[in-house]
Amino acid sequence: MNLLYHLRIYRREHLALPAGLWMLFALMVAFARMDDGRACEMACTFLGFVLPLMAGILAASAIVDDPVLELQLAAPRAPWRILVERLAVLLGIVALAALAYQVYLGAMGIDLTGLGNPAARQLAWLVPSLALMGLSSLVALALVQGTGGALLVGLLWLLQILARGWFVASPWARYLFLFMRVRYADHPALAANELCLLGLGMLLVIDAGWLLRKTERYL
Amino acid sequence: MDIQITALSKTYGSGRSAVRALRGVDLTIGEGMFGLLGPNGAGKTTLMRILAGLVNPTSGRVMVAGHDLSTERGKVAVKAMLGYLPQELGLYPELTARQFLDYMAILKGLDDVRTRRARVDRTLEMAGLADVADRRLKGFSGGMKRRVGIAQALLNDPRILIVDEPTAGLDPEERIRFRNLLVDLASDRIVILSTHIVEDICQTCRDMAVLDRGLVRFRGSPADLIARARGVVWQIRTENGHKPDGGLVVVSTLQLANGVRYRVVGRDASAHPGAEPAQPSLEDGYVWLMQAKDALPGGE
Repeated sequence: MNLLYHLRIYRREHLALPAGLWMLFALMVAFARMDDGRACEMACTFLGFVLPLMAGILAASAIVDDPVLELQLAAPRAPWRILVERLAVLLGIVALAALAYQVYLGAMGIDLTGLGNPAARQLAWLVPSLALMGLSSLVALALVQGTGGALLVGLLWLLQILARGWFVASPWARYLFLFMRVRYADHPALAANELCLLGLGMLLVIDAGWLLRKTERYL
Repeated sequence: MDIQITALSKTYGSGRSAVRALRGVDLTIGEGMFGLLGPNGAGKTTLMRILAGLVNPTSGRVMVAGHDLSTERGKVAVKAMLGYLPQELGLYPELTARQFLDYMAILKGLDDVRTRRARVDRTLEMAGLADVADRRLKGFSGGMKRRVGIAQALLNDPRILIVDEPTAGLDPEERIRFRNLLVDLASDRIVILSTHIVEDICQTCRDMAVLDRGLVRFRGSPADLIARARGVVWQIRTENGHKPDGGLVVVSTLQLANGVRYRVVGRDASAHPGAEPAQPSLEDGYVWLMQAKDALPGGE
């Protein structure tokens, strides 16, 4: 019930972003479906690159832009619960977009086996999404500004795309590379990379929850 | 049940940019309606937010019904018995009044659906919103939004109700209605009304404090504050419209057909031969208190 209200209060313009991107990439795949390689590339781009960026941007405004935050924080419950519930709703939206897109791809006959089996394929969007959501929510809460979190996520996303070669070659940065499964699915460090990103994402969310305890910063 | 505030201080920021919002506030607040009066920037909202467990004091102690607000456990316990209406009330415009209250009730821990629905219906009725319960909040007037605010504050049948500037922006009818509702509620709980509108306190509270620049300037009943201005309130009528001077502070001005009538406070109005003594009001008492404070060195 609570999660349902979190969804209802979510600003419509924010929900329009995933819906719009979903439709755009659905159309692009439909136009490119004669060229299987190109259609698959587009599908991977949406799942592995676009969805995580969207998740990060949405998470940035999950808390700090709430017009009723003062009342929320005055309720007899731990502030971190607000963060976790909102991120769960956002993750639900992203998951819905990812799963619906895969069903659509299946109907279009586009093969995604390059990303692994159906279960492993979900890691392509889930792992980077969690990491970027953790980062953007922490930065947004630290700066008390949703734009700051979204901007940082956007910059990091762009940097990783532009410098992907360096990230993969680096003995330590490879574990922080967001797009390992979608670009280098056979890389020997893939499992460690995903574990590392998942752990980092969780750690960032915990830090964000800890920051939210200082309620007076957000009034 | 009472609220005990001891040596409470709050400073925002540090160094040269530090702002001392509260400076050693001591107050004990019992059941009934308590008015907190003061100019804008006096520290009222900071005090309300500390009592609501939203802001941590820099020093001092607050005990609410035996719970220490400096501990997390104490904060949660106090929030569970608290109804809070903030000065700047935000709402979710896409929700209806009923949905908004239902959501707030969930956040306040009213998990049982039937109990929650009954409580939402009851508070909608108390706030006079039953007829518009299923309308979206984005279509509500300022007064209706304040009523939604008070309704959400009452959802958990709070033992302590904190309302910060609740009548700001309301029309006279709404203001009277709101004040009456607060007085009704104060019969068996603590209601703290923070305002800079003297009339709100005058009409509702039997116990009050005046806060200014983070300090408690007055503590007592409205009658005590009125008594302080006895013998220092004058009415002066001038035909040329010149403002009375000589250390007098103008409380109100009334344009007449053949001149202007001033209501002033001041110790000595002998410089104005037409000055007539007047019965003090709470507003006079408040202005006299603030004026007397300003006359002291350093404004203290």
